[in-house]
Amino acid sequence: MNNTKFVQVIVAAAAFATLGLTACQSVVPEHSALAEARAALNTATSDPNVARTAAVELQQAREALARADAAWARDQNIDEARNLGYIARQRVAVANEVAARKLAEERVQKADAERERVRAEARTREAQVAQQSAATAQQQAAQAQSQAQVARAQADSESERARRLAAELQQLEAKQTARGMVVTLGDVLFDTGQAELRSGAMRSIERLATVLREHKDRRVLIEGFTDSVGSDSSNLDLSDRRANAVRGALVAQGVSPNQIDARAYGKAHPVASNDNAAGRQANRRVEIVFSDASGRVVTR
Amino acid sequence: MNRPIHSFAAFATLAGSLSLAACSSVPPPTEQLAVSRAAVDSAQSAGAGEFAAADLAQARQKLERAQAAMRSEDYVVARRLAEEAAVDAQFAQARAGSARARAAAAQVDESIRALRTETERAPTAAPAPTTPR
Repeated sequence: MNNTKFVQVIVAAAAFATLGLTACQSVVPEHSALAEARAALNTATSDPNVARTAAVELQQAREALARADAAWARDQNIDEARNLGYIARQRVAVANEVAARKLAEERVQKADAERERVRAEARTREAQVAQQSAATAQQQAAQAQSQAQVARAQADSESERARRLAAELQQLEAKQTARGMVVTLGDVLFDTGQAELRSGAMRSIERLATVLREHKDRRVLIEGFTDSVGSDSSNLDLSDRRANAVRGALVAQGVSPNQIDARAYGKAHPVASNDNAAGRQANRRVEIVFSDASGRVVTR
Repeated sequence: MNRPIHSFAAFATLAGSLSLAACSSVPPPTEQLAVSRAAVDSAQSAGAGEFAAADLAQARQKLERAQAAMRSEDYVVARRLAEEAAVDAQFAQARAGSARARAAAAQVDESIRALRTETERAPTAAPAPTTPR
């Protein structure tokens, strides 16, 4: 009788135990460590960067969580759950760090290309600027060259012209004085006491006119002089009429009046002594003073 | 007779004692410890000491505690600590890698900014910055 009762109790206890075990399996909630790991894994999986660059690490995290879930379903061991849950969570963290590293490396790679691009842009700009300044420099040099050429040609022609003028004036028996080239028309070219030019003077007048027509940059000052015989006023008058006669003759030959000035000095500025006939004849003259190349005549 | 029920009772006791004996039959996790030690060394060489010092220190501490548990023949605890030490070391290494890469990216961003300013201001001189590799 006691044996039967004892056995009945044992069987009942065993039945309860089994029931309790199966009941625990469906009622015990997930351990917090597993819940945290699962939440972290979901966040990482939904991040496209992590899914793209750390797929292997994510898979390892998934496997760790699966292992934790299986262990919990089997034993509900809290220490085991803490341990496996922690491991799963750390594996998710590893996946996130790997993704962060790869993203940063991608940025560095892109940056290398970016740096090259910025440098290339700068180089093109530099090249353009250099090209432009080279072109400008070339232009300036060419300009300077042509200017120099023109100046040389001008100088050549000027000196050439000056040479020709000197040669022509030499033919007119011009004298080089402090005031410039001077052509002297002597008394024989006029009738005594008259201002009308004799025909013999025309050759000199023509030569003078040719020179002045050709060298339009030159001007002349025609100065009339007499000897000391007679009154001052009559001498001034005569010298004035003779100077103007020469002027008129030149203008008649086509010389521009702008190139001619005339002045009368009477008996002033003798070139010889008035005491003898020869000297007096020498003083009776018309001087034609030539200007420099810029048209300036040195006045007395 | 009562013999089958006696057998059941005997079986229950045997099962109970077997489950107790299961705890003491956990093998020492020597392989796991070796793996964890290697993981810590790898993290160290990867520069975790510089860029993820706290995480690496945590891995080392767990490894030491795992070794202590081994000496006390507490093999379940030893295995758990060793596994955590290994994953902590892996995390420290990963963090060191990302910290380095992020620093390099920031440096490169800055150098490009400087290069851009330099070239836009003076198109005649653009110095080449050193590239961190």
